[in-house]
Parts: sequence; C-alpha cells; structure tokens
Amino acid sequence: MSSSLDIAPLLEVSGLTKTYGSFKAVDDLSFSVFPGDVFGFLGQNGAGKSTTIRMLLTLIRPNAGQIRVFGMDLQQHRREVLSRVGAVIEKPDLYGYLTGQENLSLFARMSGKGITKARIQETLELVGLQKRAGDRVKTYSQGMKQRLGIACALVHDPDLIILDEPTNGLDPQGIADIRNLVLSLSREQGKTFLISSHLLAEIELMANRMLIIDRGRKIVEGSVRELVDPQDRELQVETLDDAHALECISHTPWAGQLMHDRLPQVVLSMSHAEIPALVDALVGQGVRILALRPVNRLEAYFLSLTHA
Amino acid sequence: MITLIRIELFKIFRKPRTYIAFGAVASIIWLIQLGFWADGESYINFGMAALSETFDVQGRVLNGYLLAYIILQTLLVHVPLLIALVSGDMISGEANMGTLRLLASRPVSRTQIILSKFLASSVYTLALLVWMAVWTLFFSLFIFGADDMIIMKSEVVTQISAADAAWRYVAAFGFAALAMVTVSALAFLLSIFAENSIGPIMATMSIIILFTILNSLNLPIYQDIKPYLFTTHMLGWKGFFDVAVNASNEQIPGSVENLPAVMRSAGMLLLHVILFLGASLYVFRRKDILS
Repeated sequence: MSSSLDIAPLLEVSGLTKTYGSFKAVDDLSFSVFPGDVFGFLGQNGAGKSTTIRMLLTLIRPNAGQIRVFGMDLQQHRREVLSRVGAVIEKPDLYGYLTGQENLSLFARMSGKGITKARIQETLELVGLQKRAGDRVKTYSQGMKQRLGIACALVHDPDLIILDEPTNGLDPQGIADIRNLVLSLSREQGKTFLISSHLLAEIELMANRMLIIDRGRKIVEGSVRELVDPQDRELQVETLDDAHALECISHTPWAGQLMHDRLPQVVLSMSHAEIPALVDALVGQGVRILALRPVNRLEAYFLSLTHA
Repeated sequence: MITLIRIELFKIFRKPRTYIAFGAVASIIWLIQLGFWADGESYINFGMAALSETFDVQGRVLNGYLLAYIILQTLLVHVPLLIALVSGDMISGEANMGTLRLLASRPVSRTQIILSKFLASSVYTLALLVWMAVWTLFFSLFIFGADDMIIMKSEVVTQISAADAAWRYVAAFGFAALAMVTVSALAFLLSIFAENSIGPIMATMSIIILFTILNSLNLPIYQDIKPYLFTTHMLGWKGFFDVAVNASNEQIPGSVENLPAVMRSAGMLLLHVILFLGASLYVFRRKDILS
C-alpha cells in the first residue's frame, strides 16, 4: 500500500453530482485514488456511496462532474477503462441456476481478454471455491456468493478493484477472509482497491487512505494513519461519580481538554503519555475510576454524522 | 458480439423456465393429435356433413396436413404467452437477479448487450417454432398420413393437393416466426422498464389481447387504426393457404391468392420489430441501472 501525492492518481473524481428530481444523491464530490491504494469509501447508509460507485462503473449517468481512470476520461474510453476494472456492487448476485465455474467463465468471457481455463481455476483457488465450483450457485452460502463475486471481479486481472460493501452479511471468519484477500492482493500484486463500507473499523483494518461522505458530500479525505491517530485520541473516563470527576478535572491542567460536547460523559482529548498523570490526579482526589476507554475521534465524528 | 450471443443463448437454454414452453407446445400438440386419433373421424364427418350432401368426397380428409392446419390455428394464439415468458425476462430477469449491474459494468457496450439479448431471444423463438413445426407437421403426417387438404372457411372450401401443401407450411411457419419475433420484441422492450418478469409478460399479453379485441370489433372508429396494429398482421400466415385460381376457376398450384397482402403484413411485422428494437436501444442506452 503506497500513496504519494506526487504521482498521478489512478482514479480521479471531480465535481461529481447526481440528482434525482430535487434530491441530490451525490453533490459536487471530488477525490483521488492512487496506484496501490486500498481506499476506504465510508459513509452511513444512504450517504451516496453506491450511487458514486455506480457512476464509476457507468451504470448511472452523472448530472455533472468528471471521472478519469488510468488517465482517461471514463465516458470517452468506457470500454478500455472497464476492461481494467473489476467490481462487486452491493451483494454479488449471480446466476443461481449456473454453477460457480460457469458463472466465473461467463464473466471472464465478457472481459474480452481471452481468459484461460487455468486462470479460472487459479481464481477459484484464490477465493477458496475450487471444491464447490461445480455446484449451482443457488446452493451457496452468502459468504461463498461473496467470494465468487470477488472472483468474477478478479478473474480478468484488473488494475482497479471496486468492492461495494464486500463484507455485508458475512460471518466474522468470512469478513477476515475478505480482508486478508484484499491485503494480500494489495501487498503482493500491487492491486488498487476502492472499498465502500459503513463500518469504520473495517476500513481502518484494510485501508491506507479513506474518504468519508455524508448526504452525498465529501466530509473528509486523507490517510487513515493521519485521520485515526492512536497517539492523539479521545479518552473516556468512566467513574462511579462522573459529576465529581468533572469537578476535579476542572481544577487540573486538563480542564481545557474536556470535550464539552460529550457531557455529562467525561471525555478528554489527550495523548497516551498524559494518561498516568491524569489517573494519579483523579485517584488522589478520591475519584473512583471504573475504566478508561480510548475513543476513536474519527469514529466519534463518524457516529455523530450517523446520528445527525 | 458472437461471444455475447453465445453467452446469452447459454443462459437461456440453461434456465429451467425455457423448457416450459417446449413442454407445453409438445403436450398441447400431442393432446390434439391423440384426440383426433381417437375421435377425429366422427368430428370430421360432422363438419363435412353439409358438404357431403352436395359433393362426393373421397380419400383421407383427416390427414396430417389438415390436422397441422387445425393445430396451427389453435396454437399460434397461445404461443405469444410462451414467447413472452422468456423474452419478457431477458432484461427484467437480470434486474431482478441483480446481475444486470454486473453485465452493464463489463467492457461491452449497452448496444451490444441489447442486440445480443434480442438476437438470443429471437433464436429461442425460432427454436420454439421449429419444435412446433416438427411436432405439428412431422408427427401429424406420420400418424395420419398425407393427402389433399380441405380447408373450410365461412363461404369457401379450398382443396390443396398434398404435393402443393408442404411448401405452404414452410412459408406459414416462416411467417409465424416473424409474427412471434414481433411479440418477442415487444416483450423485450417492456422488460427494460421492469425489475421482475411478471410485469412485462402480463403487459405483453394484455397488449395482444387488447389489440386482438380491437381487431374483432367491426366499429367504424377502430377501422382506421387496425392496419397499424401488429396483431392484425399476425395471422397473415393463413394467406399461404388461399390458392389463386385462373380464368376457368381452376387452382394454380404453387400460387397464393393475395401475395401482396401477405407480404404487406410481413412488412408491417418487420417494421414493428425494428420499432420495438429501436425503442429498446434508445431506452436502455439512457437508463440508470439502479437494480
């Protein structure tokens, strides 16, 4: 995973807008994905993620804006661009009356790249479906369908892989499998991913860069490391008497770091290094501490959007 | 494009519902043949009673050619439903399954998607007609034998020699194929607007029923629009069984009484196919795929 702002973006979206009547599903959205990125595309349900992804795949026509992929205008070079893109859009519905192998073979043939049987087998093995490849897809579990969908997205060896909510409906093992697959393809083959999700934790574990959107508009874009800095998180102090704890803190050097928008909870913005001193000070004043919980600032921010 | 058509054909013929139509056609034809094999003579004698009083009718009146005509008349009214069953599912079925977005995000143009799907559904339609022709003609001739064919219309009795009948069936099935491709094109167009196949199938049948009713109403207000309804022309295949006569009122073998009218009907059907397909392309190329 590497991204550098001095290299040309692999995907560049600028001023993208989609309206349905008076409703703006996507509003002047701009962002860039660089080669090798695992780019998290985050937003609550209905924020405009799927609409954006559908515009990236030419399923929906934007009202305004431009999409450039691999340095080409998507509308003008649709076929060339899409031959280098693989995608799973929402839940990967496939032909239930066909076998997994038939489904994969069918989509491979549509790529126009002359995919060999060996490549199809290789892709089935990559997603761990080789043993069930001859079974009809209607007998597959949700996780298996998800893996087959990813196989369909990967079979033609695309440079950019777009996964829309890839872990929806999966059990923890299935989620871990998808995550490991994404990370290994990114690290070992340098594939670029754009992964949408409404789960911040999932994106944190996979992505190196992320974008959060709300009501179709960009809220924040940047590197995950910068946005989710473990050295500068908020800390929630759970005590037997929060009012007393707040009173005590108001007489300490951390009074200015109290998060007033989180009251009556005791939440402070502070670095890890300051924690022991805070605990000593509170215990010294008779505050009985039950727990100290780090609060992910981005998560709090994201949750505040969700609750808005 | 060839690859896409092959993919679409593969999907059609791997889908269980495709074979409902083939099974239904075979069953209906077999039941009619069985019925005529058991009680056909008395049925024909009853129908020929008036004619027999005036003419001495010899030979096998109930033969393969006559039965094929009866079956065609009966079946071609119902076959559109079987056609709509598959063609009405071509786009809406993909939308319903959620596979349309996968197709449309592949490096193939929407025009190619529509054309390959339409051509594949037309191949299915033709396959169904060939299947119907084999069961109707081949098995009827096998069971009931070949002889001259007597067709009774309201005021006319037409006798077609056995030697002159076979090509008429080939032509009639060819015309019927065009009529069924028209139905297929309509169902296909309607399937673009829906996200499940019930709607397009029902809508196709409703349009056919409505137009057929308008055809049968001899009211002046509807006379002007009748020539433009495709249902008016769907039964044009019957024209191949109207034989031209010479000045001595003798039949001219290999002739059709009003070939221009038959060709006009074929032209109207072809025009409808082009219109429906053109509309399908126009709508689908601009459609936001939200399914």
